[in-house]
Formats: sequence, structure tokens, C-alpha cells
Amino acid sequence: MRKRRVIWGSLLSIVIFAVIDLVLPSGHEGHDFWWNAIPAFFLFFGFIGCILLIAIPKFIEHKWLERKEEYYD
Amino acid sequence: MISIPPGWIIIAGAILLPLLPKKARSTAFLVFPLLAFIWLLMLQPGNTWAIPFLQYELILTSVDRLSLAFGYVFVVIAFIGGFYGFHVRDTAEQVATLIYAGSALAVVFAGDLLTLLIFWEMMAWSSVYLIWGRRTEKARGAGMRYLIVHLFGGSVLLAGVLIHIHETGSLAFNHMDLSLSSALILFGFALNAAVPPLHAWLSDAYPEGTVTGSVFLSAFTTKTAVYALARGFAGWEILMWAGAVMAVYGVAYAVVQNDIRRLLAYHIISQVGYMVCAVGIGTELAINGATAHAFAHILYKALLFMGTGTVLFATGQSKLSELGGLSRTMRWTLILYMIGALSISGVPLFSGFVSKSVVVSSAEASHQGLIALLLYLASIGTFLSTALKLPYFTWFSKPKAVKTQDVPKGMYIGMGLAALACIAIGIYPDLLYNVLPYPIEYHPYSIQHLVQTFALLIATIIGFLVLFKMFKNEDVIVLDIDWFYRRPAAIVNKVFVDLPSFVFGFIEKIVLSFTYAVIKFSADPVKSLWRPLTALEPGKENGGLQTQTYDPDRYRIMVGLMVAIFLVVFIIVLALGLLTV
Repeated sequence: MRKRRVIWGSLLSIVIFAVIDLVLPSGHEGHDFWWNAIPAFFLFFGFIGCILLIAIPKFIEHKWLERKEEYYD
Repeated sequence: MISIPPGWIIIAGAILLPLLPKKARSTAFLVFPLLAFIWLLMLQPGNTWAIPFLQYELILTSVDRLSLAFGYVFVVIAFIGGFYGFHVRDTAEQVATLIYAGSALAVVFAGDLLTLLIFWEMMAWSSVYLIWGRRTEKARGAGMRYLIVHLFGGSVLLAGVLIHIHETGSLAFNHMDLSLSSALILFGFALNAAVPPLHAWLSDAYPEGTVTGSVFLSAFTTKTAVYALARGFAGWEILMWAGAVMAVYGVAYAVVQNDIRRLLAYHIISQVGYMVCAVGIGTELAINGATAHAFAHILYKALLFMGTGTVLFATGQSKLSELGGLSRTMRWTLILYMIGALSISGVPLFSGFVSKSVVVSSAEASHQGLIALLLYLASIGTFLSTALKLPYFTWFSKPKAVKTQDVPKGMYIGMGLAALACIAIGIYPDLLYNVLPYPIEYHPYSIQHLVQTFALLIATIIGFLVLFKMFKNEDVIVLDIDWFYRRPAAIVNKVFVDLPSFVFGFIEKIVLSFTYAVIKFSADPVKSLWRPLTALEPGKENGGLQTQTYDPDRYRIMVGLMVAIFLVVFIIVLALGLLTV
């Protein structure tokens, strides 16, 4: 149930932000970067960034850096 | 009018406070920051107070817009923190806090390197009591490490300052060029700014501080360092990269933390990363951004530490693995905490939105695309940990912790004031923009900016929901750079403490037994010599010698006789000699 809601929510927000990006003049204050040309770029960037920010630290933690609370005692 | 440094007013308060009746001390604690604030309002950019010192000049007060901006927020947070800690009855903690706040304030108004250094060191030793004041074994160890690291950083800074004086012949603290002295000074500043790999003291010590102490700790040390960097090292490119890496490093570590205050401590590192990065970019917009972000950060980070501190105060727990389900019993704390969390995440209408965006815009305006992306990435992690993970597992999820202690009203007032400030700045950014060091024409609430922010926030919520199962909150710690000095500590202790004390003890033993032997031998050489010769003879337990206790009269006549004969002979010889001449 929650899974389906997440998927629909994601799709809906992609559509909304893509439309807004296409309608609005791209870039702000004159300095243009390549990502301003991609519709809904920050939605994808945010999602991938979030996944990486959870997965990579968690992986490194479990693999190497995790210790019991009393490790230093 | 002498421009007395506003910090001195608060330090004077620290001296007066113990002389007041116990009941009045908490109220007095609020008065001194207030006086300092009034004094601050009277200071104008350009005011200075210098006194001669040897062949140099000590500039005790030097006011400009940069120092004023930091000064304002320092006194404001000292005042708000005074409300939050109104229930504290530990006089030592109150005094240490005032000295700490006062010396931080004195640092930002110090016009020369020596004055800066003196108050810099005062900050280190006064703030350590805010950790020790918790009175746990962990706090004792963490405080000691904190102190050692800071005294080391202070020594490097001192070395840099001395070489700088030698190189330039002046104490003046201005923008620096690359040299040995500036590298050492940069090291000292970067250590206090918690730039990795010099950051581990922060995440080690801040979570172990007292409930009130950590609120103050989160405000002063790193931000005075940002101020010092902005004054001396604006435009150093290495800081730009260090800051961007720092911003991501902090959030990456925050994701895996179990202790809520340690999670927030890593977010200090991340947020200070924005400021360090802006200092590294070094344009007027960037320095404005660093100042604005420091200003907003002090308020919302203090609010976050107050919120989590309140949870710790009420439940005695600060680990996510032990917390949960507090939304009914601690609703107000949740609401106030969330205002801080939304501010730090840069949600529109809250203070972080109007300050963080100045930093990111300054990166974009300087055509640093990669830096801007790294900062966006850090803001995703910030929202993820502070506004989604921490509140969900503390106030919602499965109920575990129980509220066992009522929260004093003062704590709510402190949080309320900080929350008000966060919202006021978010709604009316000019409040903040007006105190920035350079004139600024910036409009955070552009449509593109809003769209982009919401895209990032919504994407983060989706990411959190997708990987929700990865958050298990086990009761573990995660190693960081401090491993390199904590783990070998036992070996270092063995090599530098146990081994020398063993060697010295051993030598001392030998020397002592040798001395004993000499004393014994000289006391009675005959006996000592006689014994080995006769020891083998059976039946003579004392080496065949009659042992007697010492009797001064025993040889008196014999020795006297010998001396008399000697003198008589001597006199005769002398007389004969004189006669024959």
C-alpha cells in the first residue's frame, strides 16, 4: 500500500517539476550550468543523492567502521 | 569614550556572578549578555581601542561590520541560552559559560593576533568545563581529549603568530599571504573550525557535554574560527574545496549516528563546511554568505541542541535505539525542534533558506559548478538526518523511552526565542541581510529557487521512504579520525607513562640500594670487611665479630691520645724548624 503511494507520488512530482521547469525560464541570475537544461534535474539529483547518502555511509559503516559502544573503554 | 570590548563585560559578569546570592545568579546570567548587547549597539564600525605593549600595539577593540555581525549573534545566543539554562544551579558551569561566551565575543573584536590568541585560549579552557560538568566517566575522557586537541591547536597558532611577528614586525591581524606563519595560523583556525581531518574533537566532545553546555558549545568555537578565517584567509582556494568536502563529510557521518546529539554535532561540521567554503570563494557575496550562514546557523543549531537536550533532560536518553514514541508527552519540544530542523534544511520561510542560498549562489556566481553540486548534496543529507530520521525515530516509531522528569519553563522559553528568531529571519530576510559586512542585493524567494528547493526536499522524502528499512538504529558507535589517537592511547600510555615510570623506578631502586650499601659500609668498614671472610666458619652467625651498638665514648680516649701525640709532634717539629731558620 505504502509502496504504491510512494511510486505514484514520485511519478506525480516528476511530472509537476518537469512541467514547471519547461514553462519557467531556466537558470537564475545569468550563470547557466548544464543541469539547468534538464527538466526536473533537482528531483533526480535529490533522489539519487539521497539514496547514495544513505547507502554508501551505511555500507562503509557495516563493513569497516561499526564498533560496540564499549569499544574504547 | 573608550571602546571597551563587549566581551569584557560578559567576562566581568563571570567574575561577579559567584559573589551574588545563589538565587540571583540565573537572572544575573541574563543581565550580562544584555549589557553587552546594549554596549554593542553603541559601537560603530571604525571604533578602536589600542594600548602600547612592549614595542608593539595591542588593539583590544577593533570594530567593523564583520565583527559586529558575529558580535550580535553571540550576545543573542548567550541571552537565549541563559533562559534555557535558567534552572542550572551549578555555579562553576555558569561561570565557565560566561567566560566562554565573553572570550568568544572578545575574539571577534580583537584587532591584533596576540589579543586574539589570548581569548582563543580562554575559550578552550573555559569551554571544557561545559563537558566535564556532565560528571560522567565518558564526559571526563572526552573533555580531556577536547582540551588536549585544543591546546595543541593553540600552540600551533602561537607558533604561527610568533613567526608572523618576526616576519612582518607587527601584530596586526589582516588578510594573509601564503608563508610558513600563515600556514601554521591557518592550521590553528582550521582545527577550531573542525575542518577534516582536524574535526574529530567536535563529534567526540559535544555530545558528552551538559544539556545546556552543548547549546553554547555549538555556537561559539567553530563560529569564531569561521570569523577568523574570513578575516585572514578569504579567497584561499584550498578552503573552498575543504569546505565543500566538509559539508558532505559531515552529513555522511550523521546518517549513521545513533546518538542524537552526536548526529547534530556532525551537522555542525557539515554546516560550518558551507561557511568555510564561502570563505574560500572569498567574493563579497561569499563573505556575506558565510556571515549570514554563521548567524542563522548559531540560532537554529542552538535550537536543535536545545530540543535534543530537552529530550535527554526529560528521558535520560540520547540514543535513537533507546528513544521513540515521545510525540504525545513531548509535543512542544517536537514542534520547536522541527522549526530548527526545517531551518537547517533550508526550507522556505525558515532562516537556513535565506542564508544557505547566499553561499550556494556565491559558488554559482563564481562559476564553481562542482562546489555548488556538493553543497546541494549536503543539503539533501541535512534534511534527511535532522528533519526526517532524527524526529521520526525520537518522537514517532515504537515507544521506548519514557518521560521521567518535567522540563523547566526556562527551557521552553529559550527554545521559543530561538524558534522565533529562525522564523523572523526566514520571513523577513533583511533582518539578517542588514547586518552583513558588505552591501547585499539578494532575493532568496525567486520562483526558480523555490522550485529547485522543493524538488530537492521532495526527492529526499522519497529517498527516505524507499530506503526506510536501512535505518535500524543499532546501539553502536562509528569510528572516525579520533580512532588514530584514542585507540593507540593505551600503547602511548604504556610507552610514555608506564615505561618511563618503570625505568625511573628501577634506577631509583638501584641507586637507593647502592646508597644503603655505602652507608652500611662506611658506618662500620671493619664489620663489612670481616664478615665475608668469616662467614663460612660454622657457628659464628655474626661473621665472628662481636656486634655492639655505637658508643661515642668507646674510642674517645684512644682517638684523643692519638690527636694529642700528633699535635705535640707537630708543635715540636714547627718549633725546631723556626729555631733553625
